Amino acid sequence: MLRASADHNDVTVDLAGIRDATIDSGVPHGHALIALTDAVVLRDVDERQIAFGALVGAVGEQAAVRAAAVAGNFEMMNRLLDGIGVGAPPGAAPIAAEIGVSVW
Amino acid sequence: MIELASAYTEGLDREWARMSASGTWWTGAQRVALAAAARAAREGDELPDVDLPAPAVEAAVRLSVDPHVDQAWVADLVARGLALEPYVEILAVVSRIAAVDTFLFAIGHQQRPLPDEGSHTEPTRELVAEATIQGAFVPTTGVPFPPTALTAVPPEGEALGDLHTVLYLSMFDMGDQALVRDDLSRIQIELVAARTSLLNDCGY
Repeated sequence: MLRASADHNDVTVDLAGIRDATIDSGVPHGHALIALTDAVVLRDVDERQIAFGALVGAVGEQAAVRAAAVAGNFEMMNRLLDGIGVGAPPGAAPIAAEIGVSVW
Repeated sequence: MIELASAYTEGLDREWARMSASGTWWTGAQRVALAAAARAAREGDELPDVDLPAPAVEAAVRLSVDPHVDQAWVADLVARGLALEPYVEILAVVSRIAAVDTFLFAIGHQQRPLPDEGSHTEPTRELVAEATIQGAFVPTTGVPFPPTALTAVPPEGEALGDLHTVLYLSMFDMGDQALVRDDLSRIQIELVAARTSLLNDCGY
C-alpha cells in the first residue's frame, strides 16, 4: 500500500526506510512517524512520550493521534492474519526485496 | 492529556459494548474474560482467574503475546476441545483489544477499564456452512485474506470492519491512494502500517 500510494502521488519512496530507520524513506516526517511506531510497538513508555511529542510538533496533534490509531489497527491486523495463518500475498516478493526482508 | 475526537470515543464505546455482549461462540462474560487474559498476558501480569476452558485461555494468551502460531498449535487446541470457530472469535476479541490498548498507550492515555461484567446470554452458535478450509488454519468463505479472515464468524468480521474504520480506513477508502485523514496523508498512514507490521514480523 505504501508503494501504491507513493506511485499514485508521484512521490519517490525508499522502502528500505521501512526496515532501517536510519534510511530516509522519503515520506514526509517519516523519521518521526517511525519513532512513534517503534516506541508504541515495542511498548517503550519513555520513548513513547518523547516520540509522540515530537510527532505532534511535526504534524500536529490530530495527525499524531491518527498515526497512533493506525499503529493500533495494525497490531490488530497483524495478530489476526498471523492467527489464521495467512502469509504474504502473491507478488509480495519484489516489494519485500526492496524493503530488505524475506517473505513466508 | 489528549482529548479524543468523538469518532474515536464512540468507536471504543461500541467495541466495549460488543465485548460484553454475547457472541457466536462465547458469552459476553467469557469474552470479557478472554480480553482480560489477553491484556494481562501482554502486560506481563498474573492471569486473572477466569472461568474458561484451558485451551481458550491458552489461545487468548498466545495470540496476545506471540501470534506467530502454526498449524500444529491450532490443531492441538482443536484436539483438546477448542473448535475452530470459537478460536476465530477468541482471535477476533484478542486482536481488537490489542488495537485499542495500543492506540491508547500511543497517545499517553490510561488503559480503558474492561466492562465490569458481560452478558450471560447463550451464544448463537451459528455455523457458516459456506466457510471451509481454503489454505488458512480456519474456515473462510473464499480465499483467505483480510476481508475474509473472520467470515466463519460474521459478527466478528463486522466488528473488525467497524474498528478498522475508526482507527485506519473504511473498506470504501482503501482504494483512495490520495486520501488525507486528520492531516495525515495516505503515504504517511501506510508508513506507520508497514513499520508496525515489520516490527511484528507479520507474514502478510
